[in-house]
Amino acid sequence: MQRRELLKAMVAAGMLPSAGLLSAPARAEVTRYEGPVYLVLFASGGWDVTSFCDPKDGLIQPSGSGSAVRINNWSASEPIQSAHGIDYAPFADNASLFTNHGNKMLVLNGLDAQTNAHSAGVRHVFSGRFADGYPAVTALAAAQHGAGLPLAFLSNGGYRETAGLTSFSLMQDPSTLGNLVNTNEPQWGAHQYHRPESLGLMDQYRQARMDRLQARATLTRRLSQASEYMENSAAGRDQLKTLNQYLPETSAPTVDADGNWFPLLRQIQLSLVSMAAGLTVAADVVHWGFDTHANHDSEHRVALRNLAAGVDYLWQEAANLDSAHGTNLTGRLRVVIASDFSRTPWYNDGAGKDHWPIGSAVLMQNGGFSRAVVGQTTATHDALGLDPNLEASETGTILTPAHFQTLLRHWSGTNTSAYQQLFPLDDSGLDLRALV
Amino acid sequence: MALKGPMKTKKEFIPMRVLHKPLMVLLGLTLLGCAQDFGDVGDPVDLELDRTLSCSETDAEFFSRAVWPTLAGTCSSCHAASQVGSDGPALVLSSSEADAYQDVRQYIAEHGDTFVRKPTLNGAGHDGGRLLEVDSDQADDFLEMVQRVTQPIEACEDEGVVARELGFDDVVNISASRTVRKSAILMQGRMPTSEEVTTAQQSDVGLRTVLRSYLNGPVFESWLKNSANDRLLTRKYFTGQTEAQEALAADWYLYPGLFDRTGAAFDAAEAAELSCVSGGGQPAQDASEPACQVAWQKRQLANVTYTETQRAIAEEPLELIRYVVTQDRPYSEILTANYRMMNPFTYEIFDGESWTSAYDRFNAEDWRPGQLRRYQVAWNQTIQSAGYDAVPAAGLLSSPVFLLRYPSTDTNRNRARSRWTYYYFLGVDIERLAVRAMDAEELKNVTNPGAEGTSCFGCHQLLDPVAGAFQSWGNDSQFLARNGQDSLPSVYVAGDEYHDGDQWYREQLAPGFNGVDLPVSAPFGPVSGYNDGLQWLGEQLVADPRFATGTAKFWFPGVFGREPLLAPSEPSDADYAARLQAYQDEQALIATWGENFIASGFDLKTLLVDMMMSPLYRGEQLTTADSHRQQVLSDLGLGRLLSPEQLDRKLTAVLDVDWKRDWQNDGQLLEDYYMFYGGIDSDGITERPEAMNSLMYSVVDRMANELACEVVLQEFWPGMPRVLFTDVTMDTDPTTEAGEASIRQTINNLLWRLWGVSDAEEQEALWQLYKAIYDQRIAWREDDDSNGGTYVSDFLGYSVQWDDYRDDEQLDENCEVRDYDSNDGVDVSLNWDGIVWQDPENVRAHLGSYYNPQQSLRPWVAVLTVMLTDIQFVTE
Repeated sequence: MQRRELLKAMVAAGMLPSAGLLSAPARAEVTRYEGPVYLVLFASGGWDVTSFCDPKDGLIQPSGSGSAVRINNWSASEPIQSAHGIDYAPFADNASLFTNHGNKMLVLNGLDAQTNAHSAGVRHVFSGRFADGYPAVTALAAAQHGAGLPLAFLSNGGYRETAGLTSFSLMQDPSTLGNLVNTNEPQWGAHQYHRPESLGLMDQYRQARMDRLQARATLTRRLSQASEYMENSAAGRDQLKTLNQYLPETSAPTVDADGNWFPLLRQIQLSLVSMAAGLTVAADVVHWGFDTHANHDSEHRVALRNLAAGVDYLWQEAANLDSAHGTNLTGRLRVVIASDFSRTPWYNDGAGKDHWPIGSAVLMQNGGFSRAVVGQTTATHDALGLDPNLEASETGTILTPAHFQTLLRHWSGTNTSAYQQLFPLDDSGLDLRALV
Repeated sequence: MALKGPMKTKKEFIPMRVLHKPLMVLLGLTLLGCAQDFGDVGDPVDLELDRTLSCSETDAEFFSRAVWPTLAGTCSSCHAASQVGSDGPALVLSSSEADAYQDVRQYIAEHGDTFVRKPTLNGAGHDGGRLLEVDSDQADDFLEMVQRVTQPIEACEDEGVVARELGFDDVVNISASRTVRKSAILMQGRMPTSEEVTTAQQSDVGLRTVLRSYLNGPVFESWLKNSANDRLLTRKYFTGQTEAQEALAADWYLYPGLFDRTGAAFDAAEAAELSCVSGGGQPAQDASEPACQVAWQKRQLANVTYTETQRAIAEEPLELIRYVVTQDRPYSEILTANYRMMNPFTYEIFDGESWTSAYDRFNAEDWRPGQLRRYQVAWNQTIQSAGYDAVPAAGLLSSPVFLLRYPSTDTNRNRARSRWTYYYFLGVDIERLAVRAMDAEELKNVTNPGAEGTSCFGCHQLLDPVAGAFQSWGNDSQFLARNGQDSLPSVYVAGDEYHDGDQWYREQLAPGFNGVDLPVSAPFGPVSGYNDGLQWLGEQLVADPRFATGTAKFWFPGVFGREPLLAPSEPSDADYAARLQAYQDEQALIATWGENFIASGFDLKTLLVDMMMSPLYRGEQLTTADSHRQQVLSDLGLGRLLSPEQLDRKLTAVLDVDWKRDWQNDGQLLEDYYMFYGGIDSDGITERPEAMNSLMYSVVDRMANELACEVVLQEFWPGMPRVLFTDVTMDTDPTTEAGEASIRQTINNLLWRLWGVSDAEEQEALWQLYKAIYDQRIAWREDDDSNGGTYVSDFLGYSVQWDDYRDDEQLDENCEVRDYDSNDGVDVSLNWDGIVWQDPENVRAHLGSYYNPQQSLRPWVAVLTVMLTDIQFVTE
């Protein structure tokens, strides 16, 4: 059976939620979503975790080099720090980040992306395999929990493959967003374009039109899929009005402390607003600036500083919304921070660092996890295997993106038999589920 | 006139009614007046109303093309309203074509084929005598007009055609006429003419001819540049966060004239403003002090200079593509051009010598070839002092903004540029060759991935030589960045590997391409026989057969709205076989297009026409219900979600209006809602969504709600031309048979224009909607709120805030009144002063179509709204 047919069969059998394109039209009244919400922060370009959550303060002798060199320049002046059981590098704004938010974290070190090519790394880390076609966990969560929600999956970039399960939305400009909340309301003049009774007739026509279109068995899939997307989109549109209650009076800035373009806070703000409104299950936000092949220390310092600012803003803003609206976002937030891979444990000739497959990922939730850190690497940042108790072992299993994604699916309630059948992952050797 | 392909020619389906009748000689007859009676009508010939009518031409358009010229030239001398007395002919023609069209419809509704019999004396007398031969083309056109009025089309015959391409023989393509319509909208921003449809219907050759004719003009050029930018993303330096001048100024001494124009313009504006303010004024367009008007003007010029300079730098690669294609030059020139495209804003700061004819300094559309002459390889060291007349050019490869968009580093060593060169110009995605786990130990220990024997070598043997061909170019696009000698980093030059005169790293694979080394004067030394390695590389790339298929892949998203299918890489996937089949079929198509492209001498228009003829562009239905095949073809043909740029153009094409505020330069789809509707900034947001979401639907819904009523008001406004509602008036009564027929005919026109279909089922559904809305309003009218019912006004728009007697906002109906063109001689505005309400004509003169007590227009608002929010409007 083909994947699509399998999907249809599963929907028909009630094994899959009906948010996807293959589902019956989402005509029923949908209530606001109040379950866990998932936010994936993509540190684009390959972050240096040895200057972040897997700190290295030693020396290394790069292949072909005659002498040992520092893995990180910061180690010449400051030792590795620790907070809430997490070792971190005394670099950028790591101290405030780990001190203030380390109690919410689970750090996964030694995550082996098994590549140093950007696109392959992103695909592998965020889908669990190198080949195309597997959905991002945010897309899975939106499809699983967001049936009928108009903005179930928000994406600002990064890996956002949906595998046909749902569609993503980009939400950027809050000032214009207001015009889209009630499209029957003119910006000035009369109260409405169409009377409710007339709109009722028009909506009846639209529904019948969709039924006719979708009954045409000979239509190409592309057109019939497009009509299904359209129908689902239209069905969810009325719920956008809820956003009005949560839209902020002040938009988050889009420049950083140095005045440079930095849209992460705005992305986070709008994602939280939509989550608070009960319209969004999952969101991808993106932070650029980590691909520091030259001038690594200065450029990575800025990138990590801004990343810390983003994480801090995320929890602050969630608390603000909770305070204003009683939305309990703080308790519902599930946050993932990850990157393509990491960077070499040495500097190149241009004071930069190139690509390195061994990296880390960070999970966050209010109240933290049973453990603060899982996974280890050597002093020169090679991955160590893990035994069944998740302790480092020379004969253990190296942590791979497949293990990581299995964990995320479990955490997000998407590790269903249906999805396992559709998108199987080779996660043999390690079971991380007890961590969350 | 049939839309069914292959088209029946007119002679094939017109009955030869009179060929066996003796011809009545018309020659020699001279009209002496309008009251002559030539009563010899002879034996009438049967008139058969059996034509296959064209949906690509409305009744009104047909009337305008085929009937009105005869009426105006031959008949109006007697039938003109000004000539007709009380005992004159029943057919009275108004002077305007639009009104005469309604006159003729009315006449035919009452008198049927007498409209033809009279002027031909075919069984009916005619005071004017025989003016037309019964077997003439004109008489035949008159007869078709009769058929159009008396037998309105339920659905046009517009069947698709089975695709002929190997692997796609179970795909039904849209017809030639629909292909032409789709292409006219996308490439020309207009509806096709009936002549174009007719030509296309005749044969595939005709269709190709029409499609090719669309690959010209400003809309096509805009499509070219947008599609190219979706790939190259160089508009980052205009629409993104980094401005072009700032980006080029990273090494500020390279371009000594970079800020000359903008600096001078802003200096002049500031000086003028100082002068204005010191005199006690404020800069303004209408300031009383001349100095303040000048200050305002200079500020505008400075702003224009600044903006257009950024745009010109950012769009230089796109303009090269446009120039090559529109000048019908071999497309290979995009990689081999030994010139650079400039407009006056960049010509003055980069060149200043090449152009031989005069130019307008502020004409941003005046793009011509030029050279990068004003360039310094080091402080106070001109490019000329380094032995070059100008910075060498090799088409896109050497474009400063292209190189900036794909920068390098001292360790990346142009490999990223090499990667994108393979991807964009040869269709080879090298990163996809590495879709597998790598050996961690090897990743750690390999210092030279270009060395044989490592698993890195597979990709790097392709990457590294091409990277070496970029050897003259520094990390941020500088030419010979190290004092005009080379672009090697100083740390490498200080090392042991470097030898004097080297241009490239000795430990890397030698510069070259595809197993051929770059010709050099010494190992790792300067290129020999060329001014720059990129000029050699450009020649090599376009000589490679993959350049042809790579070009097809480059334009794939532009034409089809999606990327080429990827080869499936996971055999254990359930749909592996299906995806492999689809991939192979598509690759075969691309290979064929590539061969044709090469044979045409790299004529891009030949390639684009090939692509537009294919089922990937035209497929709409499948003849198989086999789910396996449907899966294979799941991403084919119609259903492509239009980008905001395309939807904006389609609006103009089919409605003849823009969705735009008076103060906006571009439409709302391109300004207010651009990013919401899938726009890109070429910086952080670089991919367009392929599927609709709720926010996008809300944009479409707002667009429809804002536009529908004002478009209806415009079209029915007295004196305004009709585009959509061609066959009805405000007085068309849906409760009569004739009224229903006219409304259905108008719906057919809307279906063709907005959705590109002819469909009896949809016509019926839209008619039912029209009627339901109409009945609803009539019921409101009859059961007015004075009787406890619902109030409905006589106007298209209504608000309780203007009404002293009502306060329920649910009664509101907004309708904007806008005069799209204040110079068209028709004043579209409401004049509430001095209305004589007892005189409907007087009210009409004051309020135009805003006054609609018949309640006939709001149903059209509803019909237009639902059609604008339909999937077949937002896709093609």
